[in-house]
Formats: sequence, structure tokens, C-alpha cells
Amino acid sequence: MSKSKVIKLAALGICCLLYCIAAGWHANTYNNGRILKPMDYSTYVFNPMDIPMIVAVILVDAYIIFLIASIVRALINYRKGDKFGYTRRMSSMLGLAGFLGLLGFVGIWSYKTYREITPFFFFSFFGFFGFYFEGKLSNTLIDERFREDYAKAKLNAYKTGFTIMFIAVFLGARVLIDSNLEAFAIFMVITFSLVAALIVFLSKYLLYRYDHNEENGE
Amino acid sequence: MAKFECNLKKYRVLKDLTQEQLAEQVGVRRETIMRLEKAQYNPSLKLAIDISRAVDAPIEEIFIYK
Repeated sequence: MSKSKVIKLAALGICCLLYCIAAGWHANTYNNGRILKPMDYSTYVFNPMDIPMIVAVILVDAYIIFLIASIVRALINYRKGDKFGYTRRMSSMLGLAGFLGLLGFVGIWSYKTYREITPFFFFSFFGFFGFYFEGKLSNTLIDERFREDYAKAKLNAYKTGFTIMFIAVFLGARVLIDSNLEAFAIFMVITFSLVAALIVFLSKYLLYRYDHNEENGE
Repeated sequence: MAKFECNLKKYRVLKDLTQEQLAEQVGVRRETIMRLEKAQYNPSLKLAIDISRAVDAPIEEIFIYK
């Protein structure tokens, strides 16, 4: 994706965000927070004052679809340049996407407001930190030693992940399930998301470490 | 446990090949050749045969298990 296109996408995102803030302020100030605050949509009756918030929702949805389509198109074009038998080309900077895992904390707010625990799933995005190490091994020839290291790294990552999952399930079942089923559900969603992140991260980190340590030993 | 020794460096130098050239001939990375020369990597039979052909030396003289 060209730099100008990234800037355009970011500018569009900022415009959307500013409009949403303005629509939210309008809804809060002049419309009793309708649509902004939790409400029963089965009995919803249209009110012209809802228009700014409805436009904000449509705008955000359209922007997200456009953003995803742009990223997918750029990725497809980028992948066309990959060489057969080499690791995929990737910038280590993509590791910054791991910070998206912080979105998992939205789950605290959504649970308190809507009793919705799905956002805790976003903790799994912490696994994207592994892209930092994948980027360091970008465009590397996949020879038999690389394949061995790859298999070893995957195996160790899965072993670690499943061990933690096993302990978490045991502890959750032992401590939480009898007293509080909701707390158990939250605990399991968070644990499974973090374990998924750990497996993704470890498989890339260990592969890099096996490869890197060997190079250091030369 | 069998002890693994590797005489690859000797035969590679005799054949006047750099690690890079040998790696390219047998389809691996230079780092893999380095690891082999230090006897820190146990090659597959296919790679061992490819290396043996590339340096014109018998496998059992390049890779020694004691």
C-alpha cells in the first residue's frame, strides 16, 4: 500500500472518529443518549434526532468494510511478490499490531454496560507481537533445517499453550464454576484468548530464537 | 549416544567452494552449511547425498558417526 493511500485511510478514520464524537455529544446533550446508551431496540421508534447517531453507525461500518477491503487488496498484491520456497515477506513493524490486544480491556466496560463478554476475545491479538520475529525471518530460504526448527517451535508453543490451558481449566472448574458461572465464563474467554495469543507468539519467537542462536554459535 | 563428526569443511575447501556456493548447489542456506561444518546439525540422507556429490567425496568420509 502506498504511503499516500495509508495517509488517506488514516485521514478518513480520523474524520469518522471526529464525526462519531460529535454525534455522541449531540445524542448525549439533546437526545437523552438514545442509541449511545443501551436501549431496547425491539420497541425502537424512529426519531429525527436519532439521525446523527444513525449516520455515525453507518459511517463507522462503511469505514471498517472499506479499511478491511483495502488491507486485503494490498496484502494480495504484496503476496504476489513472494518467491516460492521462501518465507513470506513481512515488516517487523507489523509486530506493533500486538498492541491491538489492549482492545481486550474493552471487555471490562462492555461487561459492566451490556453484560457482553465477547470483547475479551481481543486479548488474542497480543499474539500479533510475534510478527516482529516473523519479520526478522522475512524472505528466508526454507531449507530442511528451517523446516525442522519450524516444527520444533510449533510443537513447543503448542505444548506450552496446552499445559497452561489444562491448568486453567482445572483451576476454573475447581474454584470458579461452583460459586460464579459468569466469572467462570469470563475467566475461560480471557484464558483461551491469551493462550491463543501465546501460541501464535511463541511459535514465531521460538523459530527466530532457534535460528538466531544457531547463527550466533557460528 | 553416537558422536557426530563432520569433515565437510576439508572437502569443501579441497573442491574450492565457498559456503555460499555449496549452499546454493545443494539448496540450503549458508547458515546450514556452517552448522554442518561445526557438526551442530544432523543432515537428512538427501542433503548428505547432495553434499557428497557436490564435493565429490563419499558420505561416510564427510559425515562420521562414532
